[in-house]
Amino acid sequence: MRKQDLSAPELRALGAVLLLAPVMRLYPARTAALAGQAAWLSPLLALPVLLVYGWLLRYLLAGRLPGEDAPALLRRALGERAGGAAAFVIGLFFLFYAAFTLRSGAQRFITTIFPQAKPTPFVLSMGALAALAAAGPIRALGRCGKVILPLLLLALGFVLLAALPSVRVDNLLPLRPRDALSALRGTSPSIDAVALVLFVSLFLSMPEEPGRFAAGAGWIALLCLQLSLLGIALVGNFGAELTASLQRPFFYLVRNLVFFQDVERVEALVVALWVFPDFLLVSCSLFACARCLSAVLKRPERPLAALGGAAAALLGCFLGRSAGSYTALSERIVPLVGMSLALLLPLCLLLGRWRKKI
Amino acid sequence: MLVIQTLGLDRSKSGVRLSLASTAGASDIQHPTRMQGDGPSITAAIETIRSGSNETELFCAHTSHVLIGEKAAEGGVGELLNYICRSPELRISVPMYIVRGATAGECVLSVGDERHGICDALDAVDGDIRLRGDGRITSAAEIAQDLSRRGSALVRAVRCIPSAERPQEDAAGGASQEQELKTVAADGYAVLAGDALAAFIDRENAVGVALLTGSAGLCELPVKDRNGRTLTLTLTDGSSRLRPVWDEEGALVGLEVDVRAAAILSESGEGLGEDYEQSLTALLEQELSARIAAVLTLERQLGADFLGLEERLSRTESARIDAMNEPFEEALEDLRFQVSVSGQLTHTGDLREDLT
Repeated sequence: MRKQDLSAPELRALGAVLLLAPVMRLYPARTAALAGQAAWLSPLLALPVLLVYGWLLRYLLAGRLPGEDAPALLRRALGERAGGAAAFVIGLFFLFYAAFTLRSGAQRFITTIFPQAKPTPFVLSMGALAALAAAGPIRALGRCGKVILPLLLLALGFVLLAALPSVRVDNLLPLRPRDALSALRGTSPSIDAVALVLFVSLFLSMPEEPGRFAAGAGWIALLCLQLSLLGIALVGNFGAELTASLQRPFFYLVRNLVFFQDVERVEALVVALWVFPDFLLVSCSLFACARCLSAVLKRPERPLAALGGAAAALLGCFLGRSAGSYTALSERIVPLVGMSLALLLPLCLLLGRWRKKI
Repeated sequence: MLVIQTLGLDRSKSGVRLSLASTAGASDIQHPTRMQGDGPSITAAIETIRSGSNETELFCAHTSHVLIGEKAAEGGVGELLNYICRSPELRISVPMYIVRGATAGECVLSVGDERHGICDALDAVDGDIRLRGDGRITSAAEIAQDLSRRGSALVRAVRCIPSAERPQEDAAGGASQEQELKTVAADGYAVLAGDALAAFIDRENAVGVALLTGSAGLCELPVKDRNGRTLTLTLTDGSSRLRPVWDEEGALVGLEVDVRAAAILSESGEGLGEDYEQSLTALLEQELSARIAAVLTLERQLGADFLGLEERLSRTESARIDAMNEPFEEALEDLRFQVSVSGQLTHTGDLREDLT
């Protein structure tokens, strides 16, 4: 393993934290809208698709050379020019994704706690922090993920446990045969979110010894289980219709909770905790962006990461300025582009295999 | 800063009339605060109150009850539900009540005295509903869920009534307050069809709602025995089972409701005997049948499935319910209801027979 690489457990911990940012923005409401009462089943049905995706990536990456990263592999698979162009497009997407994540983090603060605030201060401050982190070594981000993951899982566990008594079973059951189709339709947000995390992870670090596939498969299964439990808590409490109508049902759920009959209104604390996944997602996106652009522009990664941070913060201030444009970005454009690129990578590598280049 | 705990909503000429109340503080010198203001919208009405009060801030994050006046509810509660769901301060689990026969403002401003206000009275109502087995507290989230799922919903109703508490007498023995004290009490349910108030279900029929939506617990049933004496049966347990009746063409034509109920005898006026017990059991069955039938009749009259019968039937007969040619609400119009209650008098207290 190179000094600058993450170990497989570090990468998995980091991925689990990264997932928590897009999941809370997108997964519950979209899944409930598509799958209705069966929303909690959708992540479990998404598992086979995600396992196939994970296995495919692993199979295709087996042909890489020691120390080779994802942009270099792309260039080898498609040739210098086409591979460089693909890496450049992916790099630009990461820059855009970092900007959007900054904007959506600000939006979460605004809609849940500070309704009169403007997004700019949130975007700029987080952008500056993430730029600093992205210009540093990836191992620092990996360690950060390992430290933060237990904290976030503890908070999530507390929320889910506290929400359990108010779950209405008739919001979740019974499931009828026609619900199977709805549940299948509802798999797309789970696939979007988890596949995007897998995709980002590949551009952060590719451990030389990735371990057995079972470990990675187990990790994907745990992520899906986590999404399913979240679905049970949210749809069980609010019903599918109301969950689908809310922007951020998870934080509404937190707002409703009363712990030990005395402690309530802890949503500010939980919303603040979600700064960590945002911070890591922006930092990792900037890092991946710098890695892709550096391979194409032949410039060092660190200054590119810092520059990318500044560009993302600036772009984030102008993205989704109206409610309609933000919704379009959040619910349609970003998932669509992200999913397309997550599919583009294995397609490029498959092409490389076919050309016998990798 | 004033911590608002009860929010009352009515309609006014300018649009919305909002009444806000805080509870008394821990110290004796703090009294409940009651405020009212109008505006074209809820936000504007809050701003009117804020600018007209001496408070620097009205803190609504701990609002624990929302009241809607009867007239306002007739115009629809959608605006309020949307406001609650959008607000970063209010919780969507906040209990909502519709004030029967009065405005929310009357309740907020007139209930209580210098020590207690509407917030305390509504806390007591919550406690009462939780202890009794003939209903449940309805939250804004549940109402929004039911409205979006089946187009109708049940909301707990309250009524402004004279308080059982009497004003404290002063040293001279005269009443310290001329005015009669008022409080609020749970008074059955309001039925929303669309998002507007369509009807009320009386307090005594609330047990019918409880039985048809799941199970019922502790509640009193005053009945007249065979001698015309009034006695009280206390329902301790009850549950229902629904069975759809289909015709040969697969159309839903009827609904059989089987209810099992257990009660105890709290008060009586005749020596107890097997014969008398049987007559009491028959009375229990008759009383519950009547209350359930009243609720089912209202469901049919309104053509609104506020009880969620379709969902209950779907659990056992989903394929046939899904295959129905017309929406369930339309089928309700011609539906025959058959209610059968199987009652049981579990015990009569520690008295073997009445003393006198």
